[in-house]
Amino acid sequence: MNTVNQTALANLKQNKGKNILTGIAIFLTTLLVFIIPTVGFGQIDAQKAAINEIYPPFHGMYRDVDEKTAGELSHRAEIETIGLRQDVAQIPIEDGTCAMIYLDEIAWKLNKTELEEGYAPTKKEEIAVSQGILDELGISAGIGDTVSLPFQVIESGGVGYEKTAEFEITGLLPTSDDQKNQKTYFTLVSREFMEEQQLEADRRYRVLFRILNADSMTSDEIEGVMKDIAADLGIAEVNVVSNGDYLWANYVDPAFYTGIALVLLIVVLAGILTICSIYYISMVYKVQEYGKIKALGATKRQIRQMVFREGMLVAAIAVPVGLIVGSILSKIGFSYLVRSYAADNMKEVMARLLEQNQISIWKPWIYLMAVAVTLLSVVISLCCPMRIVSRISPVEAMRYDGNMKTSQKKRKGHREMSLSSLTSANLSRNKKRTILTIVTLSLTGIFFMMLSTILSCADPKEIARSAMFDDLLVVIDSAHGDKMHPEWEWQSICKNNPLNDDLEKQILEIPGVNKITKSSELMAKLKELMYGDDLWETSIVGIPKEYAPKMEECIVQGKVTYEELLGGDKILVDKTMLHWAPDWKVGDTLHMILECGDGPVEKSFEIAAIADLPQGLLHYASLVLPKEVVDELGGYSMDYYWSVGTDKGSTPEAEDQLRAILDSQEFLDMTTYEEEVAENKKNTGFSAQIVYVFMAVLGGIGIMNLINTLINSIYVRRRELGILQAIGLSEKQMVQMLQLEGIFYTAGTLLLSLGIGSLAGYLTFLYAKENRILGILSYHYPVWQAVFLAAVVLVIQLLLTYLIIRIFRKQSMIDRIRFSE
Amino acid sequence: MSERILETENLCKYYGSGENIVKAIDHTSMYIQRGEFTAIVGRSGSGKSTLLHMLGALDRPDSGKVLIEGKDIFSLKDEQLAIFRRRKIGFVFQNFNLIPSLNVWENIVLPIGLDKKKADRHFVLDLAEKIGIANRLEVLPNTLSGGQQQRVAIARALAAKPAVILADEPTGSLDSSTELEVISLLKSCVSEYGQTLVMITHDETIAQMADRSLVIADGKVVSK
Repeated sequence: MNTVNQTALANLKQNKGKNILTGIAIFLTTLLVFIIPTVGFGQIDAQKAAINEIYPPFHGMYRDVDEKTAGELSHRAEIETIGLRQDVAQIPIEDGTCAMIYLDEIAWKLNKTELEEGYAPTKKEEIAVSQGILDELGISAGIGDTVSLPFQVIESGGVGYEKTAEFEITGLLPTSDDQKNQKTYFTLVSREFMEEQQLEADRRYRVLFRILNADSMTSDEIEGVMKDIAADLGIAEVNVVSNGDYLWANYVDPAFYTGIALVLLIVVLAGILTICSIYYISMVYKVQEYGKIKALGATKRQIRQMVFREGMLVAAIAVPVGLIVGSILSKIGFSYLVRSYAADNMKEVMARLLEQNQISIWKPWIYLMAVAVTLLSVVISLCCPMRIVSRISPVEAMRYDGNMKTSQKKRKGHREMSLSSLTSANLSRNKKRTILTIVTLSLTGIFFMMLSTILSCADPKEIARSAMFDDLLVVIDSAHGDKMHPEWEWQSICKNNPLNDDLEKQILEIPGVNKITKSSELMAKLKELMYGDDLWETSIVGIPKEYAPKMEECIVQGKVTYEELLGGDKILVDKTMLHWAPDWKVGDTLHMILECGDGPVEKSFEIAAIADLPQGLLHYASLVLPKEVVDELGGYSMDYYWSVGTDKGSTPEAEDQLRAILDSQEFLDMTTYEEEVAENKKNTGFSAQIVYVFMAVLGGIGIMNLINTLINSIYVRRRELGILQAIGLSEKQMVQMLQLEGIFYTAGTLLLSLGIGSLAGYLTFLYAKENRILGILSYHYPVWQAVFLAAVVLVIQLLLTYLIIRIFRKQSMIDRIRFSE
Repeated sequence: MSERILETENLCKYYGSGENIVKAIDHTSMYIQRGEFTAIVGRSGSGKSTLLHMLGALDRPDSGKVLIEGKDIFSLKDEQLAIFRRRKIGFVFQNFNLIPSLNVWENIVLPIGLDKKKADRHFVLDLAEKIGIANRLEVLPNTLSGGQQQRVAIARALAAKPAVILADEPTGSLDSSTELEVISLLKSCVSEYGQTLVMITHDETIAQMADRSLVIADGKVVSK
């Protein structure tokens, strides 16, 4: 071991106190730098794994593909894998369908086809069937039995003549309720059977595929790639089908990555500040020693290396410990998060995958990244003491008595001395250091206040109340754009609207129900605004007269009354719409196609005003008209939302009865205020837990800084304190003086944290409100969090002062005075 | 015979134990009379600083007594001792040991302030005049020369009008011309204000300026 290393190692042992503090700060920084991306990306991975378990994992499907094109597809660079499906024949059943399908091995996987029992057919006469189709055909058979089945082979023009063949059942497919209800079944046959029955020219495959590197693409990009390939190979656009559920479930908001990066940046900055401040403050009493080493002949480089290696040795212990603890905590924390907050349909799958260790949240790159980032922050932190040490001359260094050189020569001073004037003189001696300490200590506090403000503003009840004016809401349950179920379209439901007089009578008869406030809805396509290649689709809410005052109150641009809107040529626009159409302004004309009960109608409106409306009124529409206007335009009763008011205390019973009434209604759904509150609570609770845990660790880093500051303020001045005692400072007075100093730091920190923190919190609130983050509506000062912050800072500071004084007392006064001699 | 202001009886202070025991002060009995200038002389490591620290109540002995004005100071509790110290004893250290964040005036009146008393402004100004720093009362210590800093330290020791001034090699960090100046100053002030001066030195010339010299060797007073 060379001298530099030896000295660094010796220093490491000697400066135990400082190095333990630095070590803890590095440890905490590593912990955060590791845990945040681990849990973040773990969440994404777990979600993806769960989605792959739940949904068939193909990105898309090309229909009507011939053998040659299928071959070409498999060679495309953009494609990760393809699976082939061929519909060979149909088994005729009454009022239903049953296809005989051939799937190749990959298609089995991509389609998530699984047998309940048995194995996949491989020979000509083998087949896999479901119990459903056997029942449908009136056959009672099981695996290994041979059955005789009629079928019609699919040919280019349609289906051929009915044939019958003997099949041995090798596997049993599951039967879903949907299959039974709709009588749509399928059976699986072998490739041999398919090739025997269908001429190559007649074969038209469905190709299931996954796009290569789709993980790093957005859904739109994936769909773009599909369309490009289709165009290249001459596959018609109507034959391109994307696996919407799967793509949607896999979607990760790019803002998520930005968020993680931002949080990491804050952690790293806090870490650097703390480590740097610890070194900077404790460097003072090391300078003499380095001066001596320098006088003995060490070069600047060697001195710098000593400081650097000492720091690195600490990191070499703290970083691995941070990674180990981080690994354990992230695993525990992650399973907790999954259990508490994952979406209901995913929760079980995610928890099971975690238990079976099928999801590994520990990723090598995160370990490497955490090590690199933490070491980099240590290096940056070490730069500042390295500079001080290498710049100072040996003579200067040896005389260095812990007091910063100031250019100040005079001081006005006090006529009489007292403890407080002594303390204030002490604190003002090195203003830079005092301010640096207070600022670094306050940063965590400011951050805490900002986040607390957001959480305190996200009042679940308030947000729920703004989304639901009454306790119960009956809503039409329609689905738009489902070609399989045109009967679920609103235009179709409204012709026979279940929200009718009959239902109204029934609801009003429920004890405790006192009113129903009705809003209607109309779908519209905006001609001036595009969504991809299509017109922008949105909805217009028709609000009743009761909501007129509320509506007028919420107008932020322009001016219009409910009565003026009754004219039918003016419309109110919600402010969020400006996000998509920033150039819209009051007075503009909007042209749109209204999806009325009897078909599309073109209509134009003038924008009368722009308003910032609560969801209880808006129901996620973006345009507002009076109810009468919407009903007239729609041509039918366009009632879509019935807000049901109940007497206080009778809501639960009313809810039960209403639910009973609605159970028999296919197109009606109900939500309650309590459900809304619970949902909001879950959302904010999740954010709050994450935020507070994060703040606690960040606070820990800050506390290391405070401990260091206080210890050093005493350690550096131990001789001075000894002298003060020699000239008459009693023990009690010394304790008072140190407490006064501590209180100054506490007061400064609190002033900055609470002052600037509250201001920054308010600005964050304004931003959050503007961008509808967590549904925030109004400002609530985080009183409890502020009290908590003040209490924590105060208690920690008092505790620290007490501990430090105890340690200090152990040393005799003579030792302290001798320190200089 | 004048009154004994300071007295030790069988004073012992040992460091370490067993074979490594160092008898810094070993059964030392001595006395100092009021108004007297006593020099304590001895080689390095002879125990003179330890003796001074115990005379000044900075350190407690293992056994024996220190009596100031007839009072056994170590019978006092720490808190009382601190108060006793700031009222009765003034210290002058080799390294001046001024508080760097306080200006000259504040340094001088600090012991009075710590005693929660108001400084006798005339007295302190007079003192500052005498030691030649009256025009520099607002400057910070680090702008002063060594000799000037030691003058401030002397003024600080005298300001609270203590009965005894204990000086631990006060000229150790000064050049020879300043050295004599400072000693004369100290001596004249002490005699003017009727105080008692006990000074550690290894300088024969300075020792000869004293009324009396005590020689210490191996923790014992060997000649009076």
